[in-house]
Amino acid sequence: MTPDDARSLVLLCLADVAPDADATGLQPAQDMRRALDLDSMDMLSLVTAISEGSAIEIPDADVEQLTTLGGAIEYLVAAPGSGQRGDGGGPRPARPGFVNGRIGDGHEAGSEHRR
Amino acid sequence: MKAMRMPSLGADMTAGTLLEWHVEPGDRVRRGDIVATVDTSKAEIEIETFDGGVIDEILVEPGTKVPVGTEIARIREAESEAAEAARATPPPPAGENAAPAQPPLTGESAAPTRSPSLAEPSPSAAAAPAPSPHVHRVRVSPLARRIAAERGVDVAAVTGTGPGDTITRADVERAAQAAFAAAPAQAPPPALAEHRPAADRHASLRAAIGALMARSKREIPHYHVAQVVDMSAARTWLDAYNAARPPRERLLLAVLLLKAAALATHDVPEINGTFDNGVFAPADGVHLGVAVSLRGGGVIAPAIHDADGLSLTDLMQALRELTGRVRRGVLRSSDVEGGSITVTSLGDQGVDAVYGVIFPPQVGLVGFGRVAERPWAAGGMVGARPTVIASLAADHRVSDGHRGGLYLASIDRHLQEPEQL
Repeated sequence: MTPDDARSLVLLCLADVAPDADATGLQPAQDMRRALDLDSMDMLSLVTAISEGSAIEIPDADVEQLTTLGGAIEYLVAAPGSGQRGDGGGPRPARPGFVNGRIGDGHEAGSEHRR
Repeated sequence: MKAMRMPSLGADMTAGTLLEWHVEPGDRVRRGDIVATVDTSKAEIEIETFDGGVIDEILVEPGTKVPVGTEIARIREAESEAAEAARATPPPPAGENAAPAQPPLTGESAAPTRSPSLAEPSPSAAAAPAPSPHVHRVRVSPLARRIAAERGVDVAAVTGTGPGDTITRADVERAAQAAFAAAPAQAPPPALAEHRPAADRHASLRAAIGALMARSKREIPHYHVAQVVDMSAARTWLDAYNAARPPRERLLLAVLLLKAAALATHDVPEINGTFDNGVFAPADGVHLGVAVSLRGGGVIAPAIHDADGLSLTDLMQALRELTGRVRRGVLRSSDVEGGSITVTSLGDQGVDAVYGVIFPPQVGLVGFGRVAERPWAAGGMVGARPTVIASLAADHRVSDGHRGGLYLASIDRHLQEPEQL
């Protein structure tokens, strides 16, 4: 996954789990929880969306690394399996229906990037 | 014929504006289906029907504000297909047992009505029986409906992948992309009453919270108790639980707190219920209001019904769905009806302790501050442990500090045995 791909995936997921938060002007090093007033449920939903949108496994212990936009991009770019999204190395079949089904199974995240 | 009325969606609601109908005369509905969206002073709320049947007549046009209790539609009992086909004209307006619109209940005296549909499990858990295809109306999330209107997508042609085959935003966007190079939009956007601008909504939400909290402080003799709870066991259990699971299956510590708060009411039932007209009515279940703060200000406390009977995973799912609906600004009528005790958890970025204000007509508000490492003395030694300050604001007309203390002690006990939650 390129940094640009990672960035647009994170922002797409963010817009989905927190449609009422304004992410324009979000700085890469800012803690998103504070900058966007994300609570623990928002943060977990964000990690779920990113993980399922990229087919990259994100262990609970790593979640702290995704609390900034810059950190999340770095994590996704460096993740093993990044770039073979959705096939080889995918930790599990992503299920449709995330958070009321709005973020799907990685395929539309992929199409988002190819635009 | 059943009358469908503008419901009371909280003690402070006296009227609602009908924004949008999701059904039309002739549509078949099942109990729990979303039939309309209503704007209250607090939020847009999707009204679920209590009665199954066929929509006979719609009595209130979008954009109209009507008092609580006003008849807004009529539903006739489902008939055989043949009888339905034979019915050429709608029945006369003043039907046999169709009552005229009731005078509105006043906000002050109206206990939130607990609808029969609330006895059902959470919407996600309710298995949707297959409806007859030709009358089946697609379920579309409000956000998806709006996006579909903007992008000219005909929702009738979209396959839903959400819960109960609900058409979601992703489905609509997929359809819009697929249609991008192809035919132009076939369907005109559905007629919608105007959604209020955010500033307007914020002002009325602020006023509604102010009125309700002023009533609470005026009428309810609050007492407050607090207790520091050791969260080591809960934290250790949760970390082990989450370590082996993908994000979707993980639990939040808040869910353990909610479950403990729900279960502890079994030991002290007099903090779970409502106080109206000088009488305490114990609740028929633990309908746990969860205070969710809104970005930009304001708080809404929708309820998770029968929370004490839900497994941690079901409770997590209910909380996830509820939070999603709050974030999108569209709640369901079952979310906002019938809360019997409220929990406010000011979260991991928040403060140490909460001194709550009770949501009338409830009689108890449980507060959890931040879970953080704090000094903890045990066995003559001081160490650091994750702890949380649990607090209770309760109604002195119904209980006393001693009982309130027992309630918090019960929460503490439950949190020491997380595997039992």
